[in-house]
Parts: sequence; structure tokens; C-alpha cells
Amino acid sequence: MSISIFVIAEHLEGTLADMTFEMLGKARQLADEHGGMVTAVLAGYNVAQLAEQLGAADALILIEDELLAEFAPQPYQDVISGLIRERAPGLVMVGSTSMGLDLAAALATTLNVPMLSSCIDLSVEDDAYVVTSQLYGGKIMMETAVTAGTAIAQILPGAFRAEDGQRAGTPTLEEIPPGLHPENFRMRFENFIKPEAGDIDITQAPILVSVGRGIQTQENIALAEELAEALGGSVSSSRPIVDQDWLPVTRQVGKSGMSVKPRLYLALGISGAPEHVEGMKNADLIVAVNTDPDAPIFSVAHYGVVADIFDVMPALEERLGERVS
Amino acid sequence: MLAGEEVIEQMWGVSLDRLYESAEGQRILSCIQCGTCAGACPYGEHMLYPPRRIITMLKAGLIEEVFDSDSLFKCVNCYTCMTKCPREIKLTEILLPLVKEQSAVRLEEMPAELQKAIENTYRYGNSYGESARKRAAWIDTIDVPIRILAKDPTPVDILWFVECDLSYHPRGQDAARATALLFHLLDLDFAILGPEERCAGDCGRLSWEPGLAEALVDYNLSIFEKYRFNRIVTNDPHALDAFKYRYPMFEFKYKTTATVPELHRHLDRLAPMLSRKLDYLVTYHDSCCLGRHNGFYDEPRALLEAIPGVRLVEMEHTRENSICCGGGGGGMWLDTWYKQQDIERLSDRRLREVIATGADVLAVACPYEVSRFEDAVKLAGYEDRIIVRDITELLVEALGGH
Repeated sequence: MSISIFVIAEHLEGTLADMTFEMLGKARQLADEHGGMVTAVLAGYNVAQLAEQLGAADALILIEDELLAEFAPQPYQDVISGLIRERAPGLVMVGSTSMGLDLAAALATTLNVPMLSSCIDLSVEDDAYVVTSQLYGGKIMMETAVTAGTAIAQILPGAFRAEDGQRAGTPTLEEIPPGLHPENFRMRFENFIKPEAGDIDITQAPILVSVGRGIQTQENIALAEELAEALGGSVSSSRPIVDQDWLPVTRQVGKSGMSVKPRLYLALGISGAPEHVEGMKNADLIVAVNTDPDAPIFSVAHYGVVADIFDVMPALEERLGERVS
Repeated sequence: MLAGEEVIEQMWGVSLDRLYESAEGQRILSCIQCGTCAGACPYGEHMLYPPRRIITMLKAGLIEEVFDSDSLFKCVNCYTCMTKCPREIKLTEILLPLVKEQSAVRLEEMPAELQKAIENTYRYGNSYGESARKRAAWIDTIDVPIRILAKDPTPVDILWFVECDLSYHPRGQDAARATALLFHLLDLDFAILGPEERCAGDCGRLSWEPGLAEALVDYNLSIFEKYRFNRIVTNDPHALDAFKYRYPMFEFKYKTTATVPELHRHLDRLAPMLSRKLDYLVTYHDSCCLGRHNGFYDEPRALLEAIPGVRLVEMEHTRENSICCGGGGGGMWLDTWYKQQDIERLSDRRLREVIATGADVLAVACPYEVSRFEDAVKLAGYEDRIIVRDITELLVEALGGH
């Protein structure tokens, strides 16, 4: 079967989102294996210069209009649904993102075509696109075969590698008129509100050096920061540290703070009250250091060290330094 | 104080727009603006609209302004204003929950921790987000036989409603084990619902999410109907409140009491078992729901005094003047929010009174309090000076041979 996939490009403030490349990479791979066309669809305003980053696609359909400058669901649905109806691709890939969630379901209902949500894999078998979707937050996988007509697939971010879709080169460019129907638009883009530049996001840190009351003084937090730097991680804490104003509330792990799931959670001088454990028990690897052998943190830790954190921290940092050099 | 049935009669079906049609709404009109409620409120100083001003605004038709403020996020359902009101206006039972519900609806963003607790309770039947199947997992950690009704549905005298904190929180489980042992030694005929039990929908959640509370009431009532028992006993004073004051609106007819008064009923048999001397100076923190709302002030003290060696000392604010631990009314899930508002947690404030007594042990009777006060002790750095224990834990410690 010769494939025909449309990838709806996503961009914000003049930059293409990684989601676009993730979808393009997968579509490109399928086209290389089975033959066929990958078409990127880029709707926006003054976005033609983004075309040169879309080399993974065979063709690019560019639609420009002032009303498409920022994402708003109705203008985008309007132009993209018209295009899909006319060209009838086999599969339309849309990101499972703020934009894609708005777009995909509306496209499916407007065009009366099937929609597959939470897709994490895509393959071609016989005469069908086989789409793997997550159900129940990933506890169950569902495979769906799309045999005829057009289907919309909403792709989960991170399902495919963005690098695979990042190819320089401009695909064959076709610019089409937007043909918008603004009289029907009841929603419009007002303004873009950026979150305040804040502290680091501990939920994204791969390694957390987390401190509890055992750190004793605010000055000692610098020791944890040095260790975190040596490990390539960030510093988080239990609630008493935030209550003392030694760290901002953005660093707090637990019931009243963040739930984290880093690759490594190093708990230093944290006793492990249930309220804290609730926020970190799912970390891949938990290493706890505490002077009290009965501290409850040891019941969730994979490795436990009964020792003074002020002995362990410098020793660990020294060994890490040796490794680097 | 009104009789239970009378209160229920007056609370049923009262909504803000129909408030004045009810006897209780009429009573609000009798407010003399004395300000006792606002002065007695533990967080009154932090509220733009403390109870007295809410009534003023209500009378002036400006209640929307109250809804738009976050004043009632600082209400911990401690029943102080209501208990002190010379006009006996049922603030905590009627007016404040109605205002809270409206404030929550208008809030741009629910505090994340409270929202998560509410969502967990909806999905899993407990605020911890733990599986319902693990609700009775703690019973495998003791040697006392505990009957689960689903496995053996023969009629039983006491349905012991264990509640979420005693089922899931490790420190709550300590009290669950202690309670089970005491019931067993007293030869009480009791059984639990185990995995079939769900949160009773305590006073806090009843006020923020009445829909969720009703769903929980419906569910628990459908489970109660399956079994035959004479009465309900629960360790959680919030569940006691739910069963005594809210469930009867939904045709719940079971007699309910809390573990502390239940144990007190058997004190003549319990006291001789307490053979081990505990040389502790103990201060008792009155739980709002057990004390102010249900009048159990003497029973917990009598149990503590039955322990040989224990000497009781009272805090500055005690019995009906006790200061809330800050966990009620959803406060249990607003700790970080309070911190961000620069408001001192009530458990931290209360701990200063505890320390001032010089006591070695802070005795409590509500499952929220152990973790809240242990946290406060840790924060203040008093780990070496004071320990926090549930009354049932102290009784078991005094059992000696058992």
C-alpha cells in the first residue's frame, strides 16, 4: 500500500513545536518503508520561513491568513477540514496537545471520519494503518486498523523521536488560499499570556537531591546544591524546609507540594512522613540517608544508608569529582 | 442547644436563596452584630468577611461580594462561632457551608492540594488516592481477629466504621490496631466493612463539594443496607458528625457514637486491665467535632485518668474554648495554601499552648491530629520534649501484659 499521511504542523511564536517533528519523523519512516507521500500542512501568518525546516515531508501545503496568526480553533478547523475533504489523505496526524485536542475532534465531527486518540505507535500492515492507542492512562493498549477513507490520529507527545523528523530542506511547496468564513467564528484569539518566569520545575528533573530537617541550617542547603550540581540534578525538599522559608514552595515534594518521579531521588535527612512519601514513592530509584535506622523513609527506599548526611554528602561529591576527571 | 432532629429538620433543603423561608434563616435575621463569632474565630483576623460581616452583607443584599472573596477558605469548620453565638445561629451547620460552596464555585483556581483530595475521594473513596481493596490491609498486621462483613455477613452489634485515615495513614493505622485490640479485649461484638467502606464525606468535604458528599452518602447507605447491625462506632469525629447530622437527612437511622465514648462506657471493665504505670504528664487536645459539636469533654479525660501514673494538665484554651488543629473544613488539604497566604497554621499555634503546659505527651482523639501535631512538633524542633499519641494508643501502652 502506498501511504498518504498529512501532518498538521504546530508552531508558537515563530517556532515549530517538537510535536511537529515527532510526527513527521514517524510518517517519513513509514513512507520510506512502504512508499507514498508525507504532506506537512502549515497554517499561520508570515510562517513561510519555517518551510526550510520541514525537509522530512515530501510536500508542504502552506495556508496563510492574518486570522491564522495564532491558534484559534475555528479558523484552523475551517481551513484544514476543507483541505482534508478535498485531498482525502489516508491518515491525518495531529498532536495530542492543547492545539491538537481542540482541532482533532472538531475535524472528525465536521468531516464525519473516525478519530483515534492517545496514539503512541503507528504502523502499516497489509492495506491498513495500524494505530496503537493508550487506554486507562496506559494500563491497556488498543490497536485499531484504518482500512479505508480518512482517519484522524491524535499522537501523544513523546511517542516518537523529534530528531527523526528534523531534516533540513524545503519540500515541494504549494500555497493555497485560506477561504475562511469569519462570519461563523465565535471564538477569536485575544492574547498570549506567558507564565511568569519562575523557579525550576522539580517534576521535570531527572535527579533530585532532596533535603529534610536533617540539613539543620539554611546555610547547609548550599551543600545539597553543590551535590545536585555534581550529579546533574536539582534540589528539592520536604515540607519543614519550605515552612522555614529555606527553599521556595516550588521545591516542596509531597502531599502539599509536588509529586515527582525522577530517575534518582536522593533523600537526605528526610524521615519519610507519609505526607512526604506520597509525593516521591514512584521514583525509579530511591536512596535514603538518615541517622535514624527506624526512619520510615527506609521502608520505601531501594538503598538506605544509616549515616550522617554531612559525612555522606562530601564523600559522594568527592567520588563524583574523581569520576568526572 | 437544639435537639438533633430539630437541627436536621431545619437544615434539610435550605439553600441561600430560600434561606429566609426556613426557621434557621429567620434566626439569622435576629443577629445582634455583637461580633462574638468573628472574635472567637481562630482565623477571623485573616478574613475580609468573618461571620458577623457575612451576616451584614447578606442582610444588605451584598452577598456576592462575600462569594468573590477567599474569606471562607480560612474557615476550618471548628464550630466555635456557632457555639458562642448568643442568638444560637447555626453558622457552621447552615450559613457557612452555603457560602463556602458558592465561594468555591467562583474561585478561579482551586488550591491544587484540596482539588486532588476531592478528586481522589471521588475516584477511590479516600483522599489518599489508595485502592479501595487495600482499605483493610492493616488488619493483617495484628493478631486480633477482625471480621469483615462481606466475608461473614451474620448480624453484629457494632459496625466499626474505621474511616480513611485509620485505614491508610501509617500513624492512623497505629490507632486502628490499638482500637481493635481494645474492642477485642472488651469482648465487644464488632465487624468492619473493609474494602466496601468509603469515606463518610466529613464536614470539610460536605461544605466544599455537596455533590460528592451526597454520592458518598448514597454509596455508604447502600452498603449499610446489606448488613444487620445495631449501631455504628467510629474513631473519626468527622464521620461521627456526618452520621449524626447529615446522613439522617437521607433516611439514615442508625445510632452512632465515637470510639472514645464507646470505650468510656466500658471503663469499669477496661480500668482493671490498665496495669502498667505510665509516668506521663499528659495534656488533652479537644477535637472540635468530638468536643464542641458533640459535647464529649469528660469521656476522653476520664479514660486518660484511668491510666495509672498519668497526670492531666490543661492548656490555656480547653474544652469548648479549645483551638482547632486546623484540619477541618478542608484545612487538611490547604496547608501549603495557608503558608502561601502567610497565615500561621493552627496546629503550630496550638503547639505553643501544649509546650507551655510542660506536658510530655499530647493526647488526641481525632485521626487528623496525630499527623498535624507531629508535623508541628518537628517544625518547632520539639521532638525531644513532646510526643503525640491517640488516646487508644496510650490505653494499649498501659495494658501491660497484653
